[in-house]
Amino acid sequence: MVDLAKLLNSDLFENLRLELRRGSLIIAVLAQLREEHYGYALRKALAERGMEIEESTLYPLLRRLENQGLLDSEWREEQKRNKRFYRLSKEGAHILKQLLEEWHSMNSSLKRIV
Amino acid sequence: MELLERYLEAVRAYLPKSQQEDILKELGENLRAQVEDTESELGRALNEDELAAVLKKHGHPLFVATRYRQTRHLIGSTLFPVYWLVVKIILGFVGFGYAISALVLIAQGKSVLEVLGAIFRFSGAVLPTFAWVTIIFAVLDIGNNKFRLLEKITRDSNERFDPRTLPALRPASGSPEGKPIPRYKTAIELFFSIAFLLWWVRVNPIRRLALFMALGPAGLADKIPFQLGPVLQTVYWPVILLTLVAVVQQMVTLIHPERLRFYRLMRVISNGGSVMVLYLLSRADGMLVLAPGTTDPAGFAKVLPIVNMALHYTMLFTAIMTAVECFKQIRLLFREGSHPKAAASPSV
Repeated sequence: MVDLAKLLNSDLFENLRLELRRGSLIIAVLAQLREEHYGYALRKALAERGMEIEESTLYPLLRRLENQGLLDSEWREEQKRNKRFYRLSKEGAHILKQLLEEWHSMNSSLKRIV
Repeated sequence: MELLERYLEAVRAYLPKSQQEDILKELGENLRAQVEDTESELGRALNEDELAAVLKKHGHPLFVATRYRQTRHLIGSTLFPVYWLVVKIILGFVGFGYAISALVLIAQGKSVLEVLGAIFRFSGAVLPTFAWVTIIFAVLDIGNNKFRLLEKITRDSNERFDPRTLPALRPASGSPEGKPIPRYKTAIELFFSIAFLLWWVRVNPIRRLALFMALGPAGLADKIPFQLGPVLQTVYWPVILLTLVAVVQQMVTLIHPERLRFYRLMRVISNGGSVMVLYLLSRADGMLVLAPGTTDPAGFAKVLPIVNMALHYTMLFTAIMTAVECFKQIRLLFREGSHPKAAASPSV
């Protein structure tokens, strides 16, 4: 019974942790893409700053954000390889600004609550 | 890097067709960059086990592809590829059942209307089948969202997934000519080949259906004004033989759509033979002659040369098209025979 309770708790924590991360990941990706990156380089850049993202989460997320108009992309050759480079679009920059304001406001509220 | 290409091919199978090339090109470049990065850190090339570990960490191809799918409202993107596969399989079985029953009706000598009815009933069966499968998957999706069953299955599958067990690359998977022959196309061809064969050996309803399509209501009259001329005797057995060759090829292709060399070889034989038969038919003085006992023979005798001329040019045109197709298959056979490695080169 104890093991089952532990298991349920760890599952619950994992689900809550994922929910918490989901929104933050988008802010991190948008913010990092103020500088141009291709998929793998972006993942490395985020990991260097402590934000590890699985490749299978990041690459589809980039395409979704591009479809939503928040990113621009371009295929270009780098080191004799064709790579798709992403950069924050004009609309993306505007949304990022709003998201950061929201995040700061939530963060200060939470600090007062916790 | 062959393992990487096999991995990408496995992901391709679960991606929406319209986005396959674009997604795989990008995913391939990212994975190659990751591998090269790791190699430069180690100062040596990765061995197969290390490469397999990189791919395993990236995830099972099905779940990788799932994340590229758009969110859907009725059936979520996680279940959607499985749902779509089940829909295709079930509709394929239903279609196959109706095709067989239509052929049985033809062989039993049933009327044209009964055969047509059996074929059209298929379209009536499609909608309820589609609806039931959709309802079942929608319920499964609700259950999945509530109990997170698929997340657990995904985790287990990713743990068990070994990229080294992925199937070998298919030949020339990057070029449209190198792709396996779609099964639905072969199934349609097989249906028409068998129907043609039954018509040719004089199974009545099909014969009458073809005459109706060619001549309109006159084709359904008890007494058909025209019949095939003496040239029929010359081509009767070659046509049966060529159709049987086509039927064998289609049956094998249906089971093994990736056997392109066999497919091309058999197509060359049947197309080459068809060109000869069509040539003989187009050279005949008159493909059709007046049937004995025709009412108003003088009237039909005036129409006959026009019908024969139309048939002559139709045969010529079909012969040219068949010859072009035959040369295309010969060229592909030679190309794949002389560059087997190039044909197997990866597409991304």
